[in-house]
Amino acid sequence: MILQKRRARFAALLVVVGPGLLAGLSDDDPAGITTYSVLGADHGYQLLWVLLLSTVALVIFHGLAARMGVVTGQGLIGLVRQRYGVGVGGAVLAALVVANIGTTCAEFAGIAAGFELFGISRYISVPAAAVIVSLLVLRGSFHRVERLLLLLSTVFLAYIASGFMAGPDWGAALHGTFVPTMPMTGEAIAIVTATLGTTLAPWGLSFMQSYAVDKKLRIEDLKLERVDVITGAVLTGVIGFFVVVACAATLHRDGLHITDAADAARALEPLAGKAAGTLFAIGLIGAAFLAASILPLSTAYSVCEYAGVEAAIDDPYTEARTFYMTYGIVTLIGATIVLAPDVPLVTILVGTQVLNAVLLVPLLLAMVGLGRDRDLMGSFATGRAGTLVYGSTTLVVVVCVITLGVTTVLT
Amino acid sequence: MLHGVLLLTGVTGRDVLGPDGRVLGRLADLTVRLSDQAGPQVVERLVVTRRRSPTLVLPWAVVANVGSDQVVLTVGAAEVAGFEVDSLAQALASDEILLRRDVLDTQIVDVVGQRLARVADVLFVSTADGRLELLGAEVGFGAVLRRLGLGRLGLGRVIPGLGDDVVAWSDLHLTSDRGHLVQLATPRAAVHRLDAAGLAALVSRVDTDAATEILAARDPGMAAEAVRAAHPDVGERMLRAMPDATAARIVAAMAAEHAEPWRHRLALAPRLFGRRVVRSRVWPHRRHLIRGPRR
Repeated sequence: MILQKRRARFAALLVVVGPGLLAGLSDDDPAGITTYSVLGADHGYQLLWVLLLSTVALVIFHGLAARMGVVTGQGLIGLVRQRYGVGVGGAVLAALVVANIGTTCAEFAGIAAGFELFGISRYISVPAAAVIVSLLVLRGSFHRVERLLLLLSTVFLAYIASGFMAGPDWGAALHGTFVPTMPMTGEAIAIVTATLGTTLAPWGLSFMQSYAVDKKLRIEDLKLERVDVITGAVLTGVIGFFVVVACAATLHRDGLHITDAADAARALEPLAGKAAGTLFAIGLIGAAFLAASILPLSTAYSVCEYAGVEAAIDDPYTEARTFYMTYGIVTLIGATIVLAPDVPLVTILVGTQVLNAVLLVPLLLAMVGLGRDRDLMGSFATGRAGTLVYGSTTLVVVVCVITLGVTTVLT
Repeated sequence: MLHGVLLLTGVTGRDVLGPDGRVLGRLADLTVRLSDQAGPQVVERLVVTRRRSPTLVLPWAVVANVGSDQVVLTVGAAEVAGFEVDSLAQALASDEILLRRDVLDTQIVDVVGQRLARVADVLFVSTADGRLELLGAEVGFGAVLRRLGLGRLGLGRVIPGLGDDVVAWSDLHLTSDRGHLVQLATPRAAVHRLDAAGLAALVSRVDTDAATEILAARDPGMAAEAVRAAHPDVGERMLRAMPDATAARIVAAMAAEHAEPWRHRLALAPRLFGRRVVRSRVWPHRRHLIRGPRR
């Protein structure tokens, strides 16, 4: 009897799992892996506590996004329009679309860099990836798409293996995780902000909420959805931890500096063995694929939410033209920019990261406000204690963004 | 846009003046009562917000005229004091909704077009006796562009689907929590006029709890027909979500040859992994109370 109950509960969990895992793991995209790699290579184990902080922030806000999606049945941008009007909603959507297109470029750039490590030209890998991710969403049912994306995310295990192979100092790693120390340099502030910003991304928040709606989760699923959110966030943190550890144990030890994740994969080979470098590269490609599938999806959900047209992966093209057109256009622009010969890709990627960081502030404030709204959330509205937690987390992000802005201007 | 039509987004936000021209506040919202009375649906009351003073909820009868940028009342500052409210929620009648809060920018189901849409504006027309009659909800993206000040670009004439798109007030089901519950309690609402096919289309677009409430509001015979007209997975989802006795009553209202397969289907263990294949797009349930009597 107890076994039957446990089985039923596990089956129910399997039904609910998805939004938290996918939204969390897709935050470990090439930009994220690059940030974690630089964090480990430049600062060793010292700043690992930032990952712990990011993971807590991820649990808090992804949990709120899931709750708002389940209770209101609407995505984040739809709610922003409903409560703050078409002007605010339109401004947030415009910034989100621009930032998402830029981030999609980063994902395709990650795919290009990852495949080039194996000698495959970007002119083959990027168009092929664009076609594959488009077909995945256009042709697949919701369940098939979700299962394939979850299967794809198992590639992140490569980072964990890579971390073990690097032979880290576990004592120093644990110390760095739980004892916060901070070198007061502009460079360190920038990487701390970037780590927070890359983990808690605007598109991840809007995707989390829209996906919970599209999955038709119900109030009785909320408890299990919390498990999904926490699992996704913790796995995101754990993967980040192993990327930092792999780079700290090798690149930082030997005083090597890197500029991106592909650099890290290359640099790992002679230090931790060919297998570690290869696994790191495979992880990069898988992460880029996952995020390149989810970024256009998140954008399509947001555009449809704002425009007020129906949007669901199960819908045929004839019933959800705006949804599929948005998905296709974002994918096409992202892939084209990466392949265009004279496009300033680095400027676009840096600009995108800045836009994401800046956009995060109004989005978090809007979420806190929407979560407190009793007309929308009823008995699930955030109370005083919850508001304090959400407010404090938002404040940390605001301080980080302002500090980054100030240090950028000063340097 | 029809000639002589007023828009909710145009009317609200205007200054509200007394007969002496003194500004009393700003028009924040309008209410309608979705009561069972025959005839057109008209604006019932005005919600006027004031700085550092309680909100006013005034009957439409005190409106002298609606000008191009202001609303003039027949009563002055001293008289309106009697219409102050501490809580807007408690001031509303059980069948009264706020058009900005419960309708504008919320999602609706167009029961004729069988689609989900978001309200971009609410349309009125001025009647001979000076009241505002509710015409419908504008749902096209063209209205969004107009509100953003981009209407002059004329995109509605170039891009299909951006033009005027209005759903008649009698043909929509509100999905805001209060709107849904008030319409369920109002016999003249669209949800009570739908045939089995229309009802099936509506319940397929709302969440399980809302769908079961809609079916429970109709007689078992009609509910049984709607269950049969819907996708079998939608029907099963709704019947399983109902109390056993209610589900049994609906199944019993079916013809014997249909009732037996349904009883058999419901007797089987629910298919966990198949739960999501239903075409229900929105609104897991929010339980808000319709608060107290009108003050």
